[in-house]
Amino acid sequence: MPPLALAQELYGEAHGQAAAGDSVSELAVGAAIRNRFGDSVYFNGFNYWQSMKSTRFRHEFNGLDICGAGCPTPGNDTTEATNAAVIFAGISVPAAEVDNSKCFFSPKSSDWQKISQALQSGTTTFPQGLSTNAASCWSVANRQIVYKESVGNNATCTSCAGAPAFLFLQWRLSSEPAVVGIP
Amino acid sequence: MKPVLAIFLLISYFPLLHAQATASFPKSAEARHQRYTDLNRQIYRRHDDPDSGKLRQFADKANYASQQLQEMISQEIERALASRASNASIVSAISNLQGDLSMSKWVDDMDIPFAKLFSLNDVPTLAVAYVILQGGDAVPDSQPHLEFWDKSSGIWRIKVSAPVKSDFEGFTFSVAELNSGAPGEAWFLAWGVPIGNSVGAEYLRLYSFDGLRVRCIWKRDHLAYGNVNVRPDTVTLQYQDEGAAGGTAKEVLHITPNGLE
Repeated sequence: MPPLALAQELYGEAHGQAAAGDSVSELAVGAAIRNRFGDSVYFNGFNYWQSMKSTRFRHEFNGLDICGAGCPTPGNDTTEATNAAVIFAGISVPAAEVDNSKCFFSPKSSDWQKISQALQSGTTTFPQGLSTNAASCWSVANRQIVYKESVGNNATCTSCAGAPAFLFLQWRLSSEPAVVGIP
Repeated sequence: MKPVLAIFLLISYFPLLHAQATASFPKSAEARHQRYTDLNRQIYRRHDDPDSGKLRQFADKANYASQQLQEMISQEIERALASRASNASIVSAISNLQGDLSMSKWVDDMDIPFAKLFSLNDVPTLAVAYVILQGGDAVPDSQPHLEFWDKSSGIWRIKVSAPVKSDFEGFTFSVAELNSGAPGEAWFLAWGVPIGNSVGAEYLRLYSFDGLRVRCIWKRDHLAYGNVNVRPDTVTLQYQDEGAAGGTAKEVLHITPNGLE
């Protein structure tokens, strides 16, 4: 049985994407969370799927905070349960390829404008003034945005129109580009 | 004992007593910063410092180290208060002690450490906020502190601490003073975002200090894409609300006796 916490997180974060036909977002988000288990050194105390619901970590998982009507319960046969099972089992699928990303965020349209410019220029300077800057993992100099091209545009947020539903974050050397793209 | 002998003994032993009292805290600012760094890196694992974080997995030792760091910061605040302190000099004292191991290095626009000297009911008072970094540098177990100091007994001492750890551990952390809505109280707004949250959900708490106790008198949780703008009499919030025009709500909250409305 897949971890219920993961299915609920996927529902809260990306059910709107799945409902709009984006079959990549939920798996990509789940893969980023799974990557944390290989990096417990830098994600102190995050050792089990159930850790997502602990007092210390639950606010990091926005999907758990907003998983409302339709939120998966034990035994539910939902898209999220299926995707959680794929992630839990470690099945390799292209949608779950997020490089070494362990965090993710949903950019607003204005954020995406700055991020896509940085992607095109290959700059090592992290884009300034993003609406979710303060919340992102790692300090600015060592934070790299991973743009996964197959993630659909945000289907649920008016101020995010035209931006991908999710971008991913991984650690980088400060000499490496601030934004990179993957399929 | 003759007075002359007593004075002689006191003078003779004073350097020894003083040395014992200050033995754990080096005299020079540089040495104190180095000591803070050496201790903090034992409980804060960073990618570019492979030997860091060795005490991190031992909860008791990590907590003890964190308490020692807090004590070092308290000593630094006391030192600043002893020499014609200003808000800026107290902030500078904490920043110099913490160096790169500071929450302010996390993001440019975070106003922490924070210090505000004021008089409350004719007692010199200080509100001071800072963050101690623990855990790992992907999502730090940031340990926030908001302390109220006063000089009611003639010397500066911590009077009480706000319960910010339960509200803001693992969050970014900012603090600002508001004009108080109740006589005899000082009000401070704290806000932050859980590090790693996908929509930058903002959480806010308004704390009241009456000279003896501190209590939370107002709060808001989970404002997606939250933006907080604080002025002495108003707090402006902007956040995602799909029911609002353009998907963004804006609220201008005013001081009332009960908090913000």
